[in-house]
Amino acid sequence: MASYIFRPFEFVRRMAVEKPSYTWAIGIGLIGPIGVVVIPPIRRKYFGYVPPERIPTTYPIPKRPRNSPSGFEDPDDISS
Amino acid sequence: MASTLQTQDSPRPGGFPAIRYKRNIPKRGPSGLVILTGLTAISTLGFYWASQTIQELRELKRERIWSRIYLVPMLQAELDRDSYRRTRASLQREAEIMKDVPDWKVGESVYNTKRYVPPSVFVLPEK
Amino acid sequence: MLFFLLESFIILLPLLGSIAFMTLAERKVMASMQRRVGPNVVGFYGTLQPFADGLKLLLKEAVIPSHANKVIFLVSPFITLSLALMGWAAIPFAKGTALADLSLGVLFLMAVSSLGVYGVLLAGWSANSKYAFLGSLRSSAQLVSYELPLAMVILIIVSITGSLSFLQIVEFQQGVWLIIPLLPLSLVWFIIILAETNRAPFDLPESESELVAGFMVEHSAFPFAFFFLGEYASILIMSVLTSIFFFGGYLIPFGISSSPFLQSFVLGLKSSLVFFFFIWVRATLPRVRFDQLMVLCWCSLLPLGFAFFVLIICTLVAFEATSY
Repeated sequence: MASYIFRPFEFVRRMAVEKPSYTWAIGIGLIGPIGVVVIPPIRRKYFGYVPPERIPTTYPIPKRPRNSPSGFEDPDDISS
Repeated sequence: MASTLQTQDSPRPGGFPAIRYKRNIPKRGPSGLVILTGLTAISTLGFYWASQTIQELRELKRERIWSRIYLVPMLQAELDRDSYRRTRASLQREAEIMKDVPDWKVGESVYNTKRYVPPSVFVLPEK
Repeated sequence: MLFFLLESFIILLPLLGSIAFMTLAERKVMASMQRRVGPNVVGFYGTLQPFADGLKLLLKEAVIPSHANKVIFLVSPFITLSLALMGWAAIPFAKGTALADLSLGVLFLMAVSSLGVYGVLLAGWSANSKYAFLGSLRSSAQLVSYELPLAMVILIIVSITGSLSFLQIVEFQQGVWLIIPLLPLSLVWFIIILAETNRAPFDLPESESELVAGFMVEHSAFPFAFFFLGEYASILIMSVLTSIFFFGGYLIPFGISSSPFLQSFVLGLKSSLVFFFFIWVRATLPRVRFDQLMVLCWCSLLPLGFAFFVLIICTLVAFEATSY
């Protein structure tokens, strides 16, 4: 009765015997999301890992004041 | 009587060997923990090598995209130059053909609009 | 057009020949495992046995049951064989040597191999016989069920290599053959390909002598030969897929040589070893029951496939080993 709340370790041990494939599948599946949360901060802090620069998807914007051109807008009446 | 005593069963010279009472249980192979650790170790090493390949692929893709970024302005300029040359040649050709027709404006748009319409007919060089 | 036909025949004729010799290889290897001699009368050490078998099937009378739907009855073997042969279009035999180097080749192959169920289904239904119908239901249930874990494994491979093209999957493995990182998953894969090709120990819907070949009970002579060829063609394509996905395809170990002839020879060698595994399993293991077959697929292989998919995707994201 609700042994997975009060005695979770005994419950997992029992399930590992009774339904091994489900237990292993849930266990292996849980490692992944936990690893996504845990691993990157550890790598950056203790292993000095610097993530690579992102691959550009468009032209780089030059580092200077940008003046947007004016006087080349389309006329208002689209018909002609 | 003495003869029966002499032929009585006795242990063979050197005595009997020890009785083999050990059970012959087949070897069960390595334990589950050993298999699990071995599999994890092998696949971790494999994933390390695979991640090196993935990083190489990423750098190759970066190189490809930078080369495209640098090449596209030049290719576009070449295309613009070529299309301008073709437009001029087409106007010349039109003037040559229509020189006998009065009131013919060379280069007038055939469309009923003042906007620029890219030409839909291209003249390719004859072989 | 003529060139396309010629290209296809250059692939198909050796393919059909190799399928014929696969039957001989299976009989010889199983004979050696069971301390028999195997076929050794026809030709030199029995090398012409498959042609004798084929000729026998060709000369026999093709019995068509009077209740059968004759068109579908005769068309379904062709569907099976042609779908099994169609998948070969996307397989690279050496670097740049494929009939059609599709960028979505894996999807193409999965689509074609999934359509193979229809041949089984139509054959069982059109024969208008209870035994054939039940056999086809069981066979198609097995094929459809095992598609799912198969697709999971392929999805994992695709997400690691970042490509759906066979050529790029093979070229990825210049670094490391995928059997090393995916060692636990390869065991799952070997079980799946046995079930997907209806081979022992999962051949219960069409056990040879006991259930008289399941869905193809009523097929005789040449339609039967077509089913037989289609089955072995799918085994061969699964062997080649295994060597492409896990053993580096046409890559020669340690980069000794890069000659295209040697590369295609190496691909054949690897596929033959996988086919030897098929025969070995058949000679070793007893059949499973049908409920065991289904429980193994839905309650063991599929949860494990999902679990490994989540784990591997998350690992790639956590270590930022993505190629974009």
